[in-house]
Amino acid sequence: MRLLGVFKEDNREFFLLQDEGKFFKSDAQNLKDEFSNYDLIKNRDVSIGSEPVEGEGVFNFRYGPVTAGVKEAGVFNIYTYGERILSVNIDPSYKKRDIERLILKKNIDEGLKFAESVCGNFSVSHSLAFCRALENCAKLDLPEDAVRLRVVALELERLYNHTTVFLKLARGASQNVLTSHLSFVFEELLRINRDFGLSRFLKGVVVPGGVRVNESANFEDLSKRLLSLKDKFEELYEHALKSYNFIDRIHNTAPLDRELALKIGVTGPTLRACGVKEDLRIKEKGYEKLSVVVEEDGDSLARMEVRVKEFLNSTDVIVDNMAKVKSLDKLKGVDLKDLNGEGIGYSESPSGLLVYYVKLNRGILENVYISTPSVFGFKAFSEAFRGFIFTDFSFAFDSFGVHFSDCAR
Amino acid sequence: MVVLYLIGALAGFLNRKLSYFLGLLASLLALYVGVKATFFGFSGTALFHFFDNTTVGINVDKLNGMFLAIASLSFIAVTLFSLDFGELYRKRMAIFLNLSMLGMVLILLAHDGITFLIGWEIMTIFSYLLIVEHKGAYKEAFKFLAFSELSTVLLIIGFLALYISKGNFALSGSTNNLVFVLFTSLAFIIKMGIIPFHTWLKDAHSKAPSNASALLSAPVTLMGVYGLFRVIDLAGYNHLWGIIAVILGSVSAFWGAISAAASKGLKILPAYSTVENNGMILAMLGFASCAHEYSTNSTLFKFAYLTAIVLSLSHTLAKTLLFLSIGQAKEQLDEESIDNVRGIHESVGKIPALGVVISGLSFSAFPLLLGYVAEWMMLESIFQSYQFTSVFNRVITSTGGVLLSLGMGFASFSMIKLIGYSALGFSHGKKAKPMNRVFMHSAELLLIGLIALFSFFAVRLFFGFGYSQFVIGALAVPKGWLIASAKPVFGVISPAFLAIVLAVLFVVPFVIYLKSRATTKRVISWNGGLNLTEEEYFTANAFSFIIEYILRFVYATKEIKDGNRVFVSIRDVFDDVYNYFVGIANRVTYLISKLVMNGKVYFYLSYILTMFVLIFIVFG
Repeated sequence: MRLLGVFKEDNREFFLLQDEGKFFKSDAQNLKDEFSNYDLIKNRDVSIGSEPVEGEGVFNFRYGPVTAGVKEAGVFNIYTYGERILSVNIDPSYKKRDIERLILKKNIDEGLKFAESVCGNFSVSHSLAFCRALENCAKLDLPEDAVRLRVVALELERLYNHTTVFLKLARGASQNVLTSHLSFVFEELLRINRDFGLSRFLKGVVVPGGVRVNESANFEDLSKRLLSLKDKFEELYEHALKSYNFIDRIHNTAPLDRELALKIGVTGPTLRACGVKEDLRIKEKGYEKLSVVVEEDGDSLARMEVRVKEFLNSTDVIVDNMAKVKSLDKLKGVDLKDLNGEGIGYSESPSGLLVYYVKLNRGILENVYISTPSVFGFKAFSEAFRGFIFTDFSFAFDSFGVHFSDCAR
Repeated sequence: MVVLYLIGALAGFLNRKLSYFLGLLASLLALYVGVKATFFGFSGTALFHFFDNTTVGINVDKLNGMFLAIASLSFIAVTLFSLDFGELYRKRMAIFLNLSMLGMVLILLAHDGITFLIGWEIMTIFSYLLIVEHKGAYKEAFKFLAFSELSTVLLIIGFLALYISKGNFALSGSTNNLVFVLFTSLAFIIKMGIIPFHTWLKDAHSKAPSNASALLSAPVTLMGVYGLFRVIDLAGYNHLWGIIAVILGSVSAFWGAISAAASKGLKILPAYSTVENNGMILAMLGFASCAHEYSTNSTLFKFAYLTAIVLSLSHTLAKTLLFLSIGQAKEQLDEESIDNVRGIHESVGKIPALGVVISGLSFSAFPLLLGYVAEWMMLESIFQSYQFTSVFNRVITSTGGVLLSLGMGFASFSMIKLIGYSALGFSHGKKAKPMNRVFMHSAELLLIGLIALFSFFAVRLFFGFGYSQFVIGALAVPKGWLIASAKPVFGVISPAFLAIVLAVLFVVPFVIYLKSRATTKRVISWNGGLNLTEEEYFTANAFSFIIEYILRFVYATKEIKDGNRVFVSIRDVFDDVYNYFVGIANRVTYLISKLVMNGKVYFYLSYILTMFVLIFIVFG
């Protein structure tokens, strides 16, 4: 069982829990001592990471909140006595937008906009988890075509996110040619997104009870373009593996131990790079072509390899689903404006498990809790980066594919 | 001079300022005598009959005049500084300071071994008492005393050998007695803090009051240097001695420099710098001996010998300045570590900060300063080792040269750390204790001026020291202003000309540039959008961690984690050796005390009886 969240309702503390493919909430009483990541989740908006250290010559090499090396506003408090990183404590509060509070008293349409805006590059994952929570509350079953188109959208999001991680690692190692090629792949993927969902970041594609895609999209053409990108991506990956300059920087960098990863609550490619074969998509409809990718080393290279192989597999999944979509009619969603009750929805985002808990009263959101993979990813980074030196920062951090916006909501 | 120091010491019972002032007058007189002997050929002897044909007394010649002049410059600065600084300590410090300087003057002017030993013991005892003036410095003071007394014992053996070989104790004439050379050299090497006899130096210097640290690090170790010069003067150049000196000196310079680079203590770093500098001096004397063995026609042996003199002058002035400047900051801020005195220029004052900068730059061989001249000369001597025809000589001197050069690099690293953090670092806003500073600043300014002045007029000093053959003129540099490292010419430099060129090419345009600009554009450093807090400043430890890690087999570096406390531990492995012997000594002492003091009356009676019989047999 995995603890994903801690939230309050009716002045009582509840846990958001996962047991394999099942998600449920439970009274927190008598369970606090069972989960070692309880403090991490409780403090996720203030401080994530290891305890600060002190001693002669130790200082805080504060990286952020606004610095060239980190794209978003956030602070890495890196404690060191020179070169060696002793402890990393992350302050995500600069990116805190308080979406879980702002979303309250809003209707479902407004809520969806908030969910999509949590993290721009995870907009499908967030909107999917949000919509699934609503559908779970409404006990709603979706048409098969809608399910398949959602799979396409989620996997398209995975493609460009995984490409970004690969690209960032290549850029960090000054692999300028590789970076340029990957930038091209990235741009092509965003164009495919636009042609598929009328949004480069696939915003507005997932709606409660359905999907909204470009009705004039030529899936056959999109599939061809994707397969062509797949070939190019595979070729780039093979070239990258031959570059010792590149591989040396990420091999054995920030390795994460399997037990520690499970203890933290990490999911997604980071967990799979530690040798844990866990991917909730495998039991979902639309993933007949999915093969779960696993690596053993748990280091930056393993995380990159998992993402690259997932990229290749995801293109097959997308092409397969596009081919199986029969019709785009009657997929544009269901009106849930009078929905009452509570529901939990999840999505296997590019960086791990993303879960929404929602409680509604006559279609108005009364309580929302969002469990994001970046919270656990930041913690995993802070543990894995200890003992390394600052020049490894980008190779360690970028390999986790985590974001302050996703973490701080 | 001797009388004036004595009066100065006695005046300490009445008024400490008067005592320091009299010490200052005596030091000025010492400088006068030293300058007269060095530059104007003054010499003189005052002897008293001691026993048989043995006479004791004082003697002034060119060699001791030169060292008297060098030491007295440090004495002047220390006594001037103490007029203000001494207020922090008890009256008796003035007495100890005067008597310690008296001891050193006696050493320098000693005509014979007995006067030398009297001076040596006076210097040792009162230096010991100066160290214990600082609270909690008993252990370090005792260590100093133990090493000093070891050198005294070696000197006694050496001077007895001199007496046996010559029939008197006079430190003039010549002798080729090996026991004299061996034992006195070892005694002086211990006093210089040469590896492996350096451990007392860092402990004592860091614990002593700052004016005493300056005295211990500069003139007291200079006595060891003078002793070696006197040994060479008496016994001549010895090839084996030279080889050992090159090995010990270069290893010492390297070890001192790398230890300084990793030092965190405000006064431990300069103390290790003393080990490095004295190593250089010893190595240069060794070079001189090897070069003399190779050929007396070559000028190398004279140049290396002159290099040792210039290094001695440079070290004495810069180290006195460094300890006084750092010491002022240490006392006013009441801090011990480099990190904690950050921003001396703001918290303590611009003059002590300038003192740290100038002395540090001089030790880093920065042009326009005396250290630059001295270390250039050292490198030139090393480069000329190609002249040696013996492969053995070449291997030893070139290996020594590599170590010395590496030592110079590490020394620069350590001084950049010291200057960058203490003098020029960002102030952490700590308020300095108010103190009278006029005399302290005067002493610091005097030394700053001397370091720059002696660099500019280095060639004129060479004339005075009697080495005019190394002063030439060439190209645009007028005759008498160019230092040549050999004859025929090998390498040349003109510190005065360099200063003028730099002034014309850099300083003057820079001043014009500054004057011509209406405004200076200043930018505020970007620290991620937030102001730096106290715990976010890059520490001095962090600055040197990289070398502590890379050279972890040398430093025995350990990264220690104890809960939330983390730190890096490095060791001077020589400390381990001494600690091992101290441990054995403690255990043996304990066993003996348990054996002898066992509480049984009959045992005590037998012991007393045995001792009585033994004394009767020996002295009866």
